Amino acid sequence: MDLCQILPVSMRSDIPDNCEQGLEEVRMRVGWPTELLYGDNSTKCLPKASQKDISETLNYLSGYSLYALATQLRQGFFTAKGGHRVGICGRANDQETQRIQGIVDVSGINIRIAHEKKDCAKSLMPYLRDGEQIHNTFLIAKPGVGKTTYLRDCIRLISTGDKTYPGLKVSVVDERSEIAACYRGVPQNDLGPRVDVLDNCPKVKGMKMLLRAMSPQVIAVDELGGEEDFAAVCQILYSGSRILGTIHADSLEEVKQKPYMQDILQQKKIGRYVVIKKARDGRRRCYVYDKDFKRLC
Amino acid sequence: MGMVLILSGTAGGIFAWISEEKKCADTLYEWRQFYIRAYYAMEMEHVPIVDFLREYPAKIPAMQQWIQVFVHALLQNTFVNGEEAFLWSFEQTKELWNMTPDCKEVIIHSAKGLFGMNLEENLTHIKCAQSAIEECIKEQKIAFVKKKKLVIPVTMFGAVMIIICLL
Repeated sequence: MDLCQILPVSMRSDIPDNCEQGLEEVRMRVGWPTELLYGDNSTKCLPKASQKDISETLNYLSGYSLYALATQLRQGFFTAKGGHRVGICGRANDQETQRIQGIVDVSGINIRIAHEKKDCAKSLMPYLRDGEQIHNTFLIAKPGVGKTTYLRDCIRLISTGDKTYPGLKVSVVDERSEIAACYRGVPQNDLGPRVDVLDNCPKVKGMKMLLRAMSPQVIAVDELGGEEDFAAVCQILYSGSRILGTIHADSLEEVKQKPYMQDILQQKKIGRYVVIKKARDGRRRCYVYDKDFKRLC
Repeated sequence: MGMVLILSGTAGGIFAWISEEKKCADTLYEWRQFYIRAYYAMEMEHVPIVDFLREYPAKIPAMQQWIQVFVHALLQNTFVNGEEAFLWSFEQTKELWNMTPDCKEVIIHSAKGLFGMNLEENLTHIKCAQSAIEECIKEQKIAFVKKKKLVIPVTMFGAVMIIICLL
């Protein structure tokens, strides 16, 4: 992501050289310095942002087309070109009906830079393989650690295959265009040769549609969390396809406590749980567990 | 020979005047078409503005030129908002537009319609702009008929008078 293209014109001269190396987040809050947050926990500050600056940045990120992102904005975020997620805070309107129509008077934004780190999940593949298939797998991590990055690379490696195993047909439900970063339906990120992407589609509907339509060997989906999500996962588990999903949680214990997951956990249908942790130096460590929660590595 | 030359010159003049009027009408029809398509693209397809413009099948050179300048301006990410880019690009191509100041005013005001904060706001603005342009088209048609009624007989009469005088 080129910061000179997305930050307000008034800030561009203050952007230091090579500031995009290792950049993970850009945070702008009204009246506070704009922060560039890096993987190694370091921070660089730019001049204070005003509401006008934030509005200008939103214009650049949305291609001057915020209206086209209205549905996403109701959820408090949208995905910019390249798969970067832009979270928004401000005043949510229409509180009376308990239905958020949108966010106005934006007071802060958080741009999470999408990374395509090829081969970051290569070391996981021997644990995920189950003969010519793969184990049903959940990637678990707290926000900002890199679940989607790992998921993207897993998809690429599985669909590409290797010397021992052929590539598998992977169908991806990309609700927020973060995995494939589709532009007009065509993936911009490298997901391998055997991937079908259903872009901008709700997870639950998407999983069912793909199951029926694309005869996938693996269905990949990001950020499972709701009751309906896991109900759809259950359907996949009993359909012959395999699931590769991510879940927000800091540890396996937190996953075990998730109310909607109890059935799936008891059935022991998930063969692998991969917990991703971020070390202080910014490096990621992966811990793989089997269906009995026995640690494999 | 002189008679033929005078009459054909007069006919040529009338033809040139009608062509100019037609160009003006074409421009207004093009803008009407633009608003109709923009409305549909926004309401049904939720297409980002740049994608809409890139695929817009402009028929008149002025529109083609303006779209090119406008898209370039948007992709530069240097205008604080889209409205500014719209107005700047319109200003850059102002010599190409064959229309009355009133119509230009309508188009300038419609910039808000493409870059409002939400879809409803945009659609309302576009609808208003479309109605205003349709009003311009109507007025222009009436004016054209009125002018035609006057210009053609007067010109022809003038030509005949010149021929008589020369004879």
